[in-house]
Amino acid sequence: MNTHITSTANISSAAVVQAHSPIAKGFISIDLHHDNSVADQALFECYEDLLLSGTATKTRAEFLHAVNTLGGNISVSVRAGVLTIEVASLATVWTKMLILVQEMLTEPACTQSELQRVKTLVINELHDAKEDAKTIAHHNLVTSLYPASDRRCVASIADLQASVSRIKRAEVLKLHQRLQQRRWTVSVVGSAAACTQFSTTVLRLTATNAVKLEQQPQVGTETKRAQPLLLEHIPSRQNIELSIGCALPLKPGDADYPAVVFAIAVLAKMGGFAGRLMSIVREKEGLTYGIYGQLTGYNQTTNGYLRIMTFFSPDQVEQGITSTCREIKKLCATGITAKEFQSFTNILETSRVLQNDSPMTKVAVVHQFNLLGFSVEDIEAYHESFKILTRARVNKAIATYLAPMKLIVSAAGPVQPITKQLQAVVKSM
Amino acid sequence: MSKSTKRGASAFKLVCTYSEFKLYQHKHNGLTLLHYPKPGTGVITSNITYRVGSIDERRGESGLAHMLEHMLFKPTRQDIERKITAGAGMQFERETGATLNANTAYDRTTYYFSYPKHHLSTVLEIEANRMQDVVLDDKQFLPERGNVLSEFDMYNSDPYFALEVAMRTVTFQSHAYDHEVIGFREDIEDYTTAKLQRFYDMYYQPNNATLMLIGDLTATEAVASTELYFGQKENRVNCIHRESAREPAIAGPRQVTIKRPGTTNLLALGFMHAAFPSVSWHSASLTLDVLAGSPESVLHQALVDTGLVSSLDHAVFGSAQPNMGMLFARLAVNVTHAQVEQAIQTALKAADIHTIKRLLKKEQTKLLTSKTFARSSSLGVAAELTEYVAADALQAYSTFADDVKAVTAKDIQQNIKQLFNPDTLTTGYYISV
Repeated sequence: MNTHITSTANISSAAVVQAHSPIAKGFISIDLHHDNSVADQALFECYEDLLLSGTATKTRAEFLHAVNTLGGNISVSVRAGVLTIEVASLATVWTKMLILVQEMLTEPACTQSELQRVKTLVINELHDAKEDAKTIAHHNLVTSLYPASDRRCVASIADLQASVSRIKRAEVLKLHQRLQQRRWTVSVVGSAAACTQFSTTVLRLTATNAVKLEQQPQVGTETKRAQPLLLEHIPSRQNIELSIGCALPLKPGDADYPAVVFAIAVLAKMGGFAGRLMSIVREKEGLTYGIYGQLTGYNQTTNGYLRIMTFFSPDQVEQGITSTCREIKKLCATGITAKEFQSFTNILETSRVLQNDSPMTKVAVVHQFNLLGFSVEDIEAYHESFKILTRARVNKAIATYLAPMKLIVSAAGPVQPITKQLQAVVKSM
Repeated sequence: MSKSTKRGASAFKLVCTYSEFKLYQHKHNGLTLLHYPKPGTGVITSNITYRVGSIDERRGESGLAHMLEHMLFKPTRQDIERKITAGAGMQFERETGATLNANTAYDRTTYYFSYPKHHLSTVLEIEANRMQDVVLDDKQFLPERGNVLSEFDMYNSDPYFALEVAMRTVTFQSHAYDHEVIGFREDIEDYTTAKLQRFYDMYYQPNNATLMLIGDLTATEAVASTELYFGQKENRVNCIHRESAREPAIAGPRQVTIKRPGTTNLLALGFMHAAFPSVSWHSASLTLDVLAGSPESVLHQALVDTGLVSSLDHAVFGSAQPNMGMLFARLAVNVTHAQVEQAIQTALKAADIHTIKRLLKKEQTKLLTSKTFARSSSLGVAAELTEYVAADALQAYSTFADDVKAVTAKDIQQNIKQLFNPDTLTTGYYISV
């Protein structure tokens, strides 16, 4: 698989070419963030479905029929203000799929009846989200770290539901205009012909774009001083979901980023069993099924935050938090071992090799780099930066960035009966 | 040189050649080897599937197959000799970053690794050792049971899971599909290492396993490497115990209700479907896709688009014997279970042959496309083949497309009547109080 990335004022375009591939998949991402108002967030919630709800020449039923007849898939999501459209199909129908994507993006109908249907649907989905303890714990952590205007913050479910109910068609169409005012980031995997077809379609779609720099998303670097313990009582859950973290002044491309990412992997590598927290809190102490962490929430210009995610049963949550924090303190006090340094050097290299097993994984990874503004050379340099790391460099980064951390514990679940115990354990951290 | 290497590659006989893969069987111990080449990636996925699952569990021992799956990551006799305290599998993952995991289902337990190809020997040695030599003692078992209880609580918090568990208990009178794979909490709390050892000794042996090697290796490499590490393995029991129970005919509708604090209200319909991977199974699966598989589907339009429910979910299980499939509807605020039940039956009656025909064709095309995507990675191939191995029906992997295309609109229409006959349904209410 060969990877290319080209960049212009209007667009950054990546292609992962796989000779004779019978399948093709493309990503189109457009940053629609404005002010992260509740109204904007509510619009994003509805926009995901409205884009798939018909065009100037096709009703929703006709549009869905056209997509499904081809056996393809188009999905739309908006996360932290970034719209992402994923389109996938067999190579044999790829051209027809791209015509539908073009139609969807140039002529969305957004009829009153469809808007009403989508509003009902979204309000129902938001109601369901009231018991999603894992997501609520995460949102509460993020909202405690950043001001409300920050793209990562999510409004309350009640506020979003109220705002969704007030959305007007004109507001949706105005939001849609932002597509022509923002830079597009696109990535594709498939045969050379499929990649070319995708690029041609995107170029056609962006030909008349007028990227207005003054309307580019504003970056919020401000952070708040948050309470150390955030609790949300959700009595229907049996476990207590936790997001433990803090803001970290880093993003990819920063000199110390690889060292800090390496250290966080040693502590709580995402997936698998290799992280210290999985080895100790899960394997040795049997306190949770899974405990992982990562530096996340960054983009090309915005620093990220540390998030450790896990869950404990109510009767073990004090011990679980204590053990987790003990291991974090231990890492900060003594750094990583020589053996860990060697192992995680191998681990990071292996994860790169394994991407070659799946063209879908490969293009998803390339798209993430593309969103960060990386060229192919930048991606190579990024991987090389891990190869030239030293244990001393990682431990210095731990001392610089992780040791001074003031962790915030965000818990969601049946917390009410054990609030005092949780306050006590967090106070003792 | 060991006895196994003297035997050489000829210890495996070629059993069958399919278009995508070859199947071998060991002449002495009966181990099945599946080789599926995907050259040029530098990656291999190995998957060993044992024909043992929750169907093989006794009363009071529900979830034992799954608990044992967890224990197979613990140290073996060989690991202890080499002072590998974490267990070789875990240590391998922690030193190399290879993907490893396992899962248990109704009829099988599966372990897999995905790794750069030069690790093949290491992985096969790990799999061979843990086939029979894991040391099941309390030091390793007790913390792991804590993890399994944590996993149980994670699932049990989910209203969908809780409702399905309750529905299984009232649906099956005799058959061992009457409980969820993870088992009941009370049974998990009562496990002992003796129970685990008995289970391990009965089901973990070469003639009850299929090893799949998928990825960047040749058939010669696959056969020779497997012989090297598995050639000396012996079967511990001559006759593996199999639970077999024919489920009595359904005599009437069944209903179960769960009440818990919260905001979620669910209606679930349980229906009996055919065993995987028969054409009848594909027919049932496509029926649910036509009814609830996409925004175009019959029930999505009748329930979600009208605001009666917020979402629909469905499951037709890839089990080796007939099983209970599920249709879930998550109720919108102020909508009653009875309203949704009525709306479902009305929509099912209104589904005419033209609508079904139109939807079926699309669902068939989507399904065939999704399989092409799944088969683009060795992990995806392994995941799909696992279910065919468990059902002892590998030939159906190659006839998948034909089997899917064989389903007609009339079949779907007939299924709708049969599967959702109110007299044979199990109905579940999850009520938030």
